[in-house]
Amino acid sequence: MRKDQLNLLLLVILTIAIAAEGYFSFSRVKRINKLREDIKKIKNELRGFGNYRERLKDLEDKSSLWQKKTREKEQYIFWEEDISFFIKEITNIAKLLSIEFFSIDSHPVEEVSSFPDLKIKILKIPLSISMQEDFFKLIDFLKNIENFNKFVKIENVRISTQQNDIYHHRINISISVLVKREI
Amino acid sequence: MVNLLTREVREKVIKKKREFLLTQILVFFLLFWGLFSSASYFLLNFWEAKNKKILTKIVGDREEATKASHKIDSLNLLLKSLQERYKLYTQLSSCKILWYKKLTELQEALPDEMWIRNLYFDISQGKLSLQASLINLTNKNLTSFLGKFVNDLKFTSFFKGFREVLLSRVRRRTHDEFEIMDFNLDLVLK
Repeated sequence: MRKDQLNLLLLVILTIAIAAEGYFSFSRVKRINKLREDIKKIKNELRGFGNYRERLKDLEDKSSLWQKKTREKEQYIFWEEDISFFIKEITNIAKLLSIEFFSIDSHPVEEVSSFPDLKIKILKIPLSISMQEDFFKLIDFLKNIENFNKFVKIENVRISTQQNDIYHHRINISISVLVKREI
Repeated sequence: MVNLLTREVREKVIKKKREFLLTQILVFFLLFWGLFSSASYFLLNFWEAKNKKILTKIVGDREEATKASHKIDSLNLLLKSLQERYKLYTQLSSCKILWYKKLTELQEALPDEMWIRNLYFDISQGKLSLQASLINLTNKNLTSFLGKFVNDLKFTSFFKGFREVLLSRVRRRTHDEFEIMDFNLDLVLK
């Protein structure tokens, strides 16, 4: 091969090499720039989320604390739906204090509140008790009821003194307990 | 030194030298370009791989953040519902008055000459009604005694939880030569 032909060939190869390198490098730089733009865009989006890990942890801690508090409160205020359980407890208290009831009457159940999203409703079961006792036993009875490990609400208290026996009063107490029912 | 070559031969030699120089330059450029291309190939490759790695990581972060954001929304709703439930439970289980304490305090507040005939409390009315009597054992002025009692009652522990005390239906009578005063007291809850 002649020298001038070789030079021409080398020139052609060099030109092709420069063009090819330019083309591939340019497209690659374009790809990298696109990647960098995407990164920038996502970083901006992430900035909008703020410190989500900390927020999430904080919320998880808070909600577990409130769940615990609510569960404890529920355990305190809600009785079994079967009223006989409550009557048994109240009769035990009376037995312990040697109190005899004249009557225990249950009344229609009333709806207090409902949570359709949680599929539960809160009902109130009213109950009235009548007895004839002295003032101190009444106080003891009320003390036992009000300090019970479950919530009992005293709605009405009526104490009437009898003409013939001023130490034994006619006592009517209306109380209510709360139950949770699934809808 | 004297060049004895003919002009033709000299030109040929110069041309050959130029061609050789050009070949050398072209080969040098080709080699240089080869090296440059390889270096740029590796550098661009490294740069691209690095950016891809960053992108993969932050895409993962974004997915995590999106999931976390949904979770945060649902946790906020749960928290709100729990707080509302707790508030309601607290309202439902709140007792303004502990009756065993109140009756004990009432007993302590009553003077010896006084007794309760009837006591009635209704939570819906928010009122405690008392029907009581007062006997004159020591020849005192029952009206002023009763007035003082009602006034003093406001400063006893029994009165805590009540807003006001209303005295009504005061009746005087005698029984076995004893002067007795019947009266009604209404205590309104706060």
